[in-house]
Amino acid sequence: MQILYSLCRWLDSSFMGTSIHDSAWLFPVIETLHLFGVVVLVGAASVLDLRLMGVAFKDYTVSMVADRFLPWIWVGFVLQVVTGILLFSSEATKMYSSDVFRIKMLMIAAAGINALVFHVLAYRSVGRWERDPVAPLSARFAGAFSILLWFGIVGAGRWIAYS
Amino acid sequence: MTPAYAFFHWLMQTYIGTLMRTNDYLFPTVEALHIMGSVALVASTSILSLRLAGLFLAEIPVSKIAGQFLPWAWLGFGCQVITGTLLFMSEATLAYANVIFQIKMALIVLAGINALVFHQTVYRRVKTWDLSNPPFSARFAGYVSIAIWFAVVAVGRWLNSSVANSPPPPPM
Repeated sequence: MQILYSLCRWLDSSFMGTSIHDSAWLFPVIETLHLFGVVVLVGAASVLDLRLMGVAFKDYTVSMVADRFLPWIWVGFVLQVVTGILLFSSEATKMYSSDVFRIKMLMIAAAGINALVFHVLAYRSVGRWERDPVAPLSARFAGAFSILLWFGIVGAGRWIAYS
Repeated sequence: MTPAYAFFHWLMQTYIGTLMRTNDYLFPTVEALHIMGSVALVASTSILSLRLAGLFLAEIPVSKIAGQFLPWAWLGFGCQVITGTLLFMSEATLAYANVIFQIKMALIVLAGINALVFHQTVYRRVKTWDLSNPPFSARFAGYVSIAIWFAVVAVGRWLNSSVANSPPPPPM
Protein backbone atom coordinates (compact mmCIF):
# COMPACT_ATOMS: atom_id res chain seq x y z
CA MET A 1 0.00 0.00 0.00
CA GLN A 2 3.10 2.19 0.25
CA ILE A 3 2.97 2.75 -3.53
CA LEU A 4 -0.70 3.76 -3.36
CA TYR A 5 0.01 6.21 -0.56
CA SER A 6 2.93 7.71 -2.51
CA LEU A 7 0.66 8.07 -5.52
CA CYS A 8 -1.92 9.88 -3.38
CA ARG A 9 0.74 12.25 -2.02
CA TRP A 10 1.95 12.95 -5.54
CA LEU A 11 -1.64 13.63 -6.69
CA ASP A 12 -2.22 15.93 -3.70
CA SER A 13 0.79 18.03 -4.65
CA SER A 14 0.24 17.88 -8.42
CA PHE A 15 -0.83 20.98 -10.32
CA MET A 16 -4.31 19.49 -10.74
CA GLY A 17 -4.68 18.64 -7.05
CA THR A 18 -3.41 21.95 -5.70
CA SER A 19 -5.43 23.99 -8.24
CA ILE A 20 -8.70 22.35 -7.20
CA HIS A 21 -7.76 22.41 -3.52
CA ASP A 22 -6.77 26.08 -3.50
CA SER A 23 -9.59 27.41 -5.67
CA ALA A 24 -12.70 28.68 -3.94
CA TRP A 25 -15.01 27.63 -6.77
CA LEU A 26 -13.40 24.69 -8.68
CA PHE A 27 -14.29 22.01 -6.13
CA PRO A 28 -18.00 22.99 -5.85
CA VAL A 29 -18.27 23.29 -9.66
CA ILE A 30 -16.76 19.84 -10.25
CA GLU A 31 -18.92 18.45 -7.44
CA THR A 32 -21.99 19.86 -9.20
CA LEU A 33 -20.98 18.11 -12.44
CA HIS A 34 -20.46 14.93 -10.36
CA LEU A 35 -24.08 15.32 -9.16
CA PHE A 36 -25.30 15.76 -12.76
CA GLY A 37 -23.41 12.56 -13.62
CA VAL A 38 -25.18 10.73 -10.79
CA VAL A 39 -28.55 11.56 -12.35
CA VAL A 40 -27.44 10.35 -15.81
CA LEU A 41 -25.59 7.21 -14.66
CA VAL A 42 -27.85 6.02 -11.84
CA GLY A 43 -31.03 7.15 -13.61
CA ALA A 44 -30.23 5.26 -16.81
CA ALA A 45 -28.89 2.20 -14.96
CA SER A 46 -32.03 2.09 -12.80
CA VAL A 47 -34.32 1.98 -15.85
CA LEU A 48 -32.49 -1.11 -17.13
CA ASP A 49 -32.35 -2.64 -13.63
CA LEU A 50 -36.09 -2.13 -13.02
CA ARG A 51 -36.83 -3.73 -16.41
CA LEU A 52 -34.63 -6.73 -15.54
CA MET A 53 -36.36 -7.04 -12.17
CA GLY A 54 -39.72 -7.05 -13.93
CA VAL A 55 -40.86 -4.09 -11.82
CA ALA A 56 -41.29 -1.50 -14.59
CA PHE A 57 -41.21 -0.82 -18.34
CA LYS A 58 -42.42 -4.35 -19.12
CA ASP A 59 -43.93 -3.15 -22.42
CA TYR A 60 -40.42 -2.85 -23.85
CA THR A 61 -38.06 -5.74 -24.56
CA VAL A 62 -34.92 -6.02 -22.43
CA SER A 63 -32.63 -5.62 -25.44
CA MET A 64 -34.49 -2.48 -26.55
CA VAL A 65 -34.12 -0.91 -23.09
CA ALA A 66 -30.44 -1.96 -23.01
CA ASP A 67 -29.76 -0.53 -26.50
CA ARG A 68 -31.32 2.83 -25.66
CA PHE A 69 -30.08 3.29 -22.11
CA LEU A 70 -26.58 1.75 -22.15
CA PRO A 71 -25.12 4.70 -24.11
CA TRP A 72 -26.43 7.06 -21.39
CA ILE A 73 -25.03 4.77 -18.69
CA TRP A 74 -21.61 5.03 -20.36
CA VAL A 75 -21.83 8.81 -20.81
CA GLY A 76 -22.71 9.15 -17.12
CA PHE A 77 -19.99 6.70 -16.08
CA VAL A 78 -17.25 8.53 -17.99
CA LEU A 79 -18.42 11.85 -16.53
CA GLN A 80 -18.26 10.30 -13.04
CA VAL A 81 -14.76 8.86 -13.58
CA VAL A 82 -13.39 12.19 -14.86
CA THR A 83 -15.04 14.40 -12.22
CA GLY A 84 -14.40 11.78 -9.51
CA ILE A 85 -10.65 11.68 -10.27
CA LEU A 86 -10.53 15.49 -10.18
CA LEU A 87 -12.29 15.62 -6.80
CA PHE A 88 -10.08 12.80 -5.49
CA SER A 89 -6.86 14.52 -6.59
CA SER A 90 -7.63 17.56 -4.43
CA GLU A 91 -7.74 15.49 -1.23
CA ALA A 92 -6.07 12.20 -2.19
CA THR A 93 -4.21 11.42 1.05
CA LYS A 94 -7.36 12.22 3.06
CA MET A 95 -9.37 9.81 0.88
CA TYR A 96 -6.61 7.18 1.20
CA SER A 97 -7.45 6.75 4.86
CA SER A 98 -11.23 7.21 4.60
CA ASP A 99 -13.25 4.06 5.29
CA VAL A 100 -16.33 5.46 3.58
CA PHE A 101 -14.31 6.17 0.43
CA ARG A 102 -12.98 2.58 0.43
CA ILE A 103 -16.52 1.23 0.81
CA LYS A 104 -17.65 3.42 -2.11
CA MET A 105 -14.82 2.13 -4.36
CA LEU A 106 -15.56 -1.49 -3.36
CA MET A 107 -19.24 -1.02 -4.21
CA ILE A 108 -18.33 0.47 -7.62
CA ALA A 109 -16.09 -2.53 -8.29
CA ALA A 110 -18.92 -4.86 -7.23
CA ALA A 111 -21.35 -3.04 -9.56
CA GLY A 112 -18.87 -3.45 -12.42
CA ILE A 113 -18.37 -7.17 -11.74
CA ASN A 114 -22.15 -7.64 -11.46
CA ALA A 115 -22.69 -5.94 -14.85
CA LEU A 116 -19.87 -7.96 -16.45
CA VAL A 117 -21.18 -11.28 -15.14
CA PHE A 118 -24.68 -10.39 -16.34
CA HIS A 119 -23.42 -9.52 -19.82
CA VAL A 120 -21.34 -12.66 -20.35
CA LEU A 121 -23.94 -14.99 -18.81
CA ALA A 122 -27.67 -14.14 -18.81
CA TYR A 123 -27.53 -11.43 -21.48
CA ARG A 124 -26.02 -13.80 -24.07
CA SER A 125 -29.35 -15.61 -24.30
CA VAL A 126 -31.48 -12.46 -24.04
CA GLY A 127 -33.28 -13.29 -27.32
CA ARG A 128 -34.88 -16.33 -25.70
CA TRP A 129 -36.33 -14.60 -22.62
CA GLU A 130 -36.56 -10.88 -23.32
CA ARG A 131 -40.27 -10.97 -24.16
CA ASP A 132 -41.13 -12.85 -20.98
CA PRO A 133 -42.80 -10.61 -18.42
CA VAL A 134 -40.59 -12.27 -15.80
CA ALA A 135 -36.88 -12.52 -16.64
CA PRO A 136 -34.76 -15.50 -15.50
CA LEU A 137 -33.71 -15.45 -11.84
CA SER A 138 -30.10 -14.52 -12.67
CA ALA A 139 -31.23 -11.46 -14.63
CA ARG A 140 -33.67 -10.38 -11.92
CA PHE A 141 -30.92 -10.83 -9.34
CA ALA A 142 -28.43 -8.80 -11.41
CA GLY A 143 -30.98 -5.97 -11.71
CA ALA A 144 -31.82 -5.90 -7.99
CA PHE A 145 -28.16 -6.13 -6.97
CA SER A 146 -27.20 -3.35 -9.39
CA ILE A 147 -29.87 -0.89 -8.22
CA LEU A 148 -29.01 -1.55 -4.55
CA LEU A 149 -25.31 -1.02 -5.24
CA TRP A 150 -25.78 2.21 -7.21
CA PHE A 151 -28.02 3.81 -4.61
CA GLY A 152 -25.59 2.60 -1.93
CA ILE A 153 -22.78 4.31 -3.87
CA VAL A 154 -24.79 7.56 -3.95
CA GLY A 155 -25.37 7.31 -0.19
CA ALA A 156 -21.69 6.55 0.50
CA GLY A 157 -20.71 9.51 -1.71
CA ARG A 158 -22.73 11.86 0.47
CA TRP A 159 -21.17 10.40 3.63
CA ILE A 160 -17.60 10.91 2.37
CA ALA A 161 -18.08 14.63 3.01
CA TYR A 162 -18.85 13.89 6.68
CA SER A 163 -16.24 11.21 7.30
CA MET B 1 -40.28 39.74 14.67
CA THR B 2 -42.14 39.28 11.37
CA PRO B 3 -44.78 36.53 11.21
CA ALA B 4 -42.64 34.67 8.64
CA TYR B 5 -39.58 34.72 10.88
CA ALA B 6 -41.68 33.65 13.85
CA PHE B 7 -43.11 30.73 11.88
CA PHE B 8 -39.71 29.50 10.62
CA HIS B 9 -38.24 29.95 14.08
CA TRP B 10 -41.07 27.81 15.48
CA LEU B 11 -40.44 25.23 12.71
CA MET B 12 -36.78 25.01 13.73
CA GLN B 13 -37.68 24.56 17.39
CA THR B 14 -40.19 21.76 16.80
CA TYR B 15 -39.23 18.26 17.90
CA ILE B 16 -38.36 17.23 14.32
CA GLY B 17 -36.43 20.42 13.53
CA THR B 18 -34.40 20.10 16.72
CA LEU B 19 -33.75 16.40 16.14
CA MET B 20 -32.59 17.08 12.55
CA ARG B 21 -30.17 19.74 13.81
CA THR B 22 -28.75 17.99 16.86
CA ASN B 23 -28.48 14.37 15.71
CA ASP B 24 -25.11 13.63 14.05
CA TYR B 25 -26.47 11.05 11.63
CA LEU B 26 -29.92 12.29 10.72
CA PHE B 27 -28.97 15.29 8.54
CA PRO B 28 -26.44 13.42 6.35
CA THR B 29 -28.84 10.47 6.02
CA VAL B 30 -31.76 12.64 4.94
CA GLU B 31 -29.40 14.52 2.61
CA ALA B 32 -28.35 11.19 1.01
CA LEU B 33 -32.05 10.32 0.53
CA HIS B 34 -32.56 13.79 -1.02
CA ILE B 35 -29.83 13.02 -3.60
CA MET B 36 -31.39 9.59 -4.30
CA GLY B 37 -34.75 11.29 -4.80
CA SER B 38 -33.17 13.73 -7.26
CA VAL B 39 -32.09 10.74 -9.37
CA ALA B 40 -35.68 9.43 -9.54
CA LEU B 41 -37.21 12.86 -10.17
CA VAL B 42 -34.67 14.42 -12.56
CA ALA B 43 -33.89 11.25 -14.53
CA SER B 44 -37.59 10.44 -15.11
CA THR B 45 -38.55 13.97 -16.14
CA SER B 46 -35.43 14.21 -18.34
CA ILE B 47 -36.33 11.03 -20.25
CA LEU B 48 -39.77 12.48 -21.05
CA SER B 49 -38.21 15.87 -21.83
CA LEU B 50 -35.65 14.34 -24.22
CA ARG B 51 -38.50 12.53 -25.97
CA LEU B 52 -40.43 15.82 -26.25
CA ALA B 53 -37.33 17.56 -27.60
CA GLY B 54 -37.18 14.83 -30.27
CA LEU B 55 -33.76 13.63 -29.10
CA PHE B 56 -34.52 10.22 -27.55
CA LEU B 57 -36.86 7.21 -27.97
CA ALA B 58 -38.51 8.77 -31.05
CA GLU B 59 -40.14 5.44 -32.06
CA ILE B 60 -42.17 5.24 -28.83
CA PRO B 61 -45.38 7.36 -28.54
CA VAL B 62 -45.02 10.37 -26.23
CA SER B 63 -48.13 9.35 -24.29
CA LYS B 64 -46.59 5.96 -23.57
CA ILE B 65 -43.31 7.45 -22.30
CA ALA B 66 -45.36 9.81 -20.11
CA GLY B 67 -47.42 6.88 -18.80
CA GLN B 68 -44.30 4.85 -17.96
CA PHE B 69 -42.09 7.53 -16.45
CA LEU B 70 -44.40 10.12 -14.83
CA PRO B 71 -45.31 7.81 -11.90
CA TRP B 72 -41.57 7.57 -11.11
CA ALA B 73 -41.24 11.33 -11.42
CA TRP B 74 -44.09 11.78 -8.90
CA LEU B 75 -42.50 9.21 -6.57
CA GLY B 76 -39.23 11.17 -6.76
CA PHE B 77 -41.07 14.46 -6.25
CA GLY B 78 -42.81 13.11 -3.13
CA CYS B 79 -39.45 11.95 -1.77
CA GLN B 80 -37.95 15.39 -2.47
CA VAL B 81 -40.77 17.29 -0.77
CA ILE B 82 -40.53 15.11 2.37
CA THR B 83 -36.72 15.03 2.64
CA GLY B 84 -36.46 18.68 1.55
CA THR B 85 -38.91 19.76 4.26
CA LEU B 86 -36.93 17.83 6.89
CA LEU B 87 -33.64 19.44 5.78
CA PHE B 88 -35.31 22.86 5.74
CA MET B 89 -36.75 22.41 9.24
CA SER B 90 -33.30 21.92 10.73
CA GLU B 91 -32.17 25.38 9.64
CA ALA B 92 -35.40 27.12 8.64
CA THR B 93 -34.52 30.68 9.70
CA LEU B 94 -31.15 30.46 7.90
CA ALA B 95 -32.56 28.89 4.74
CA TYR B 96 -35.63 31.06 4.13
CA ALA B 97 -33.56 34.25 4.24
CA ASN B 98 -30.91 32.75 1.92
CA VAL B 99 -30.95 34.06 -1.66
CA ILE B 100 -29.79 30.73 -3.10
CA PHE B 101 -32.63 28.94 -1.32
CA GLN B 102 -35.10 31.48 -2.73
CA ILE B 103 -33.68 30.95 -6.23
CA LYS B 104 -34.06 27.17 -5.83
CA MET B 105 -37.71 27.50 -4.76
CA ALA B 106 -38.41 29.94 -7.62
CA LEU B 107 -36.89 27.48 -10.12
CA ILE B 108 -39.06 24.62 -8.76
CA VAL B 109 -42.17 26.81 -9.14
CA LEU B 110 -41.09 27.62 -12.72
CA ALA B 111 -40.65 23.89 -13.46
CA GLY B 112 -44.16 23.32 -12.11
CA ILE B 113 -45.66 26.09 -14.23
CA ASN B 114 -43.85 24.78 -17.33
CA ALA B 115 -45.23 21.27 -16.71
CA LEU B 116 -48.74 22.57 -15.98
CA VAL B 117 -48.88 24.74 -19.12
CA PHE B 118 -47.59 21.81 -21.20
CA HIS B 119 -50.24 19.45 -19.81
CA GLN B 120 -53.11 21.94 -20.19
CA THR B 121 -52.25 22.97 -23.74
CA VAL B 122 -50.24 20.97 -26.27
CA TYR B 123 -50.43 17.65 -24.35
CA ARG B 124 -54.25 17.75 -24.62
CA ARG B 125 -53.81 17.16 -28.37
CA VAL B 126 -51.06 14.54 -27.93
CA LYS B 127 -53.00 12.00 -30.02
CA THR B 128 -52.44 14.18 -33.10
CA TRP B 129 -48.62 14.22 -32.70
CA ASP B 130 -47.90 11.17 -30.49
CA LEU B 131 -45.60 9.52 -33.02
CA SER B 132 -44.50 12.44 -35.18
CA ASN B 133 -41.92 15.10 -34.39
CA PRO B 134 -43.42 17.01 -31.43
CA PRO B 135 -44.73 20.53 -32.16
CA PHE B 136 -42.56 23.49 -31.26
CA SER B 137 -44.32 24.20 -27.95
CA ALA B 138 -43.75 20.59 -26.81
CA ARG B 139 -40.06 20.66 -27.79
CA PHE B 140 -39.74 24.00 -26.02
CA ALA B 141 -41.33 22.59 -22.84
CA GLY B 142 -38.87 19.67 -22.99
CA TYR B 143 -35.77 21.85 -23.24
CA VAL B 144 -37.02 24.22 -20.53
CA SER B 145 -37.78 21.31 -18.19
CA ILE B 146 -34.30 19.75 -18.54
CA ALA B 147 -32.56 23.12 -18.08
CA ILE B 148 -34.60 23.97 -14.98
CA TRP B 149 -34.24 20.61 -13.23
CA PHE B 150 -30.47 20.42 -13.70
CA ALA B 151 -30.26 24.02 -12.50
CA VAL B 152 -32.24 23.01 -9.40
CA VAL B 153 -29.66 20.26 -8.72
CA ALA B 154 -26.80 22.74 -9.15
CA VAL B 155 -28.41 25.38 -6.96
CA GLY B 156 -29.06 22.68 -4.34
CA ARG B 157 -25.35 21.93 -4.25
CA TRP B 158 -24.56 25.65 -3.74
CA LEU B 159 -27.20 25.94 -1.06
CA ASN B 160 -25.31 23.37 0.98
CA SER B 161 -22.19 25.53 1.41
CA SER B 162 -24.09 28.80 1.38
CA VAL B 163 -26.36 28.01 4.34
CA ALA B 164 -23.52 26.36 6.27
CA ASN B 165 -21.35 29.49 5.89
CA SER B 166 -24.01 32.16 6.39
CA PRO B 167 -24.13 34.06 9.67
CA PRO B 168 -27.39 33.69 11.61
CA PRO B 169 -29.78 36.50 10.63
CA PRO B 170 -30.70 38.93 13.39
CA PRO B 171 -34.23 38.43 14.72
CA MET B 172 -36.51 40.83 12.85
